[in-house]
Amino acid sequence: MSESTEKKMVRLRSSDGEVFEVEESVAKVAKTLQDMLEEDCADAVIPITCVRAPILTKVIDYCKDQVMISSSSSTTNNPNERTEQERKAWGQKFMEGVDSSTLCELLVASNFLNIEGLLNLGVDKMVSMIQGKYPQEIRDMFNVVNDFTPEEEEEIRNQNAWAFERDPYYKKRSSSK
Amino acid sequence: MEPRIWSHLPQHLLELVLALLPLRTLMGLRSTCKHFNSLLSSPSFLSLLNKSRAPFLSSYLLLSHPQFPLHCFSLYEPTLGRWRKLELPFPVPATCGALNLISSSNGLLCFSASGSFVVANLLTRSCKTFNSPLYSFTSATLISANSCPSRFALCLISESSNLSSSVFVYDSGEDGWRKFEGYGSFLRHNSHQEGVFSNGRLYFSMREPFSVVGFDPRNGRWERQAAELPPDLTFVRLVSGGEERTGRLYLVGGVGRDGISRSLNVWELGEDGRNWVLLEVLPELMCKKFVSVCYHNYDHVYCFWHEGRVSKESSIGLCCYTWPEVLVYRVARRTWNWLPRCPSLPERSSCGFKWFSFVPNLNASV
Repeated sequence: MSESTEKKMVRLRSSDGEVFEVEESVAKVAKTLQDMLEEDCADAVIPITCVRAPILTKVIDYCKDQVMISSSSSTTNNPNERTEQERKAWGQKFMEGVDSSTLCELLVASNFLNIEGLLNLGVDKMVSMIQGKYPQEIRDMFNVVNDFTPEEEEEIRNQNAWAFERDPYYKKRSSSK
Repeated sequence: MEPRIWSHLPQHLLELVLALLPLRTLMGLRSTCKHFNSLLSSPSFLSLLNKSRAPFLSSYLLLSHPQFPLHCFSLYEPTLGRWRKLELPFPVPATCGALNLISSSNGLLCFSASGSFVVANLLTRSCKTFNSPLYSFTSATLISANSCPSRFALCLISESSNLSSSVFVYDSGEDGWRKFEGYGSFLRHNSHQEGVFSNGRLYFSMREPFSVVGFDPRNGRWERQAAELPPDLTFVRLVSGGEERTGRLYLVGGVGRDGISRSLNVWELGEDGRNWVLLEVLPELMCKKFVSVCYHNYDHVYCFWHEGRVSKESSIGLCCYTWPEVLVYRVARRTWNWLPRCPSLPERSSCGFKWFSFVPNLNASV
């Protein structure tokens, strides 16, 4: 890790006041920070006002990894270079164990910092958490309040019935012929 | 009440996530809460949807019959061999009265009502009503293409008493009709003929002598198709190759003498558009059944392309208004079979069997 020229460091402060010191190249993975740094309008400590420390830690982990892959990508036979499949597996592992509220914060952070790769990872993770779920499971998951009257809900089920008859969720309806 | 987690997630991020959900889950979301329910009719959300999304629903064969309850249809899923009931899932505008299904294209259904037309997308439960310029028409074709899902066209052909015909084209983008010259009186003997859309043109078959003409709905030009039709035809119907066979035109026709078909064949238009290549001959027994169920009255015969949801499952449906079964030709497998009779048809139903290919599509907007 040691190099002759000292690496330029950037300091980031999370919304709850924790300060992180990272290499400039790591910070620059975030387009928002890159723009700030290049326009030289960054203060000594850059406040990341909407991201809490545990989330920022995760974001920085992601950025560090990106730097590691790309650092030697210009040379051939880069040991860190990943195939499409490996990248997918890595992404999955990175997102493993992330609960839905952390995921929401990660999405907000990667959107604010403009880190496309992380945003995509988060979106994919969220899709995998939602898909195949029944309405009540989704309500529980997102803490959504069912604001339909039972009649309204029934009507919507009826409207969907032609496309969902095989779905257990609609079983009750279709059996009534 | 604002859900706790959502409040952290800006609206556009949430929509980004939801737009990637499989259509099935997305449809299921409708009944979770009002907000999710409204998404499926929000243009900004619909524009996010991945155009190349993997299909979630089957593609259906849709049967309309005068003895079904009002605004009810039967759907058949060829891959599962299952029937299900379809009741129009949107409120029918009160002024329209009874809707009569006349055309289906790319997930949109077109109904004629008293003095107007209704074009609807059943997934988004949206519909558009517009006035008809005609009291009656001989042919109506709905045109909607995946390449341009935001607008549709409806092409009407009418015939006046003086043997001339005219064409009216409705463009949903302009919300207006344009009138063009017809092609002589070619539809006089071509009842039940819908146009067939391929490569930007609407093709019709003519008879006496048999030929194929193309109509360009953008400029109203008619053009005779160059390929000579096979000899000894008793009737012909055109079919356009859908997405699996984009740009391909098929000809389904009877071959025989004196109005009696000895065989039923399928031809495909050659790549250069100069000749019809014989693709398939309907097996003799099936042919005998088909010509006997339509009593050699080929006016009642019609065909449609049915896009399969899995590759190589696309087919051509061959039907007769007076017979409840459909004869299906799987183009890639080169197999023929009769679909079973719809169980919800009344015992004594005898005519008015109208089949359509229906492939639900969330992206097609009205």
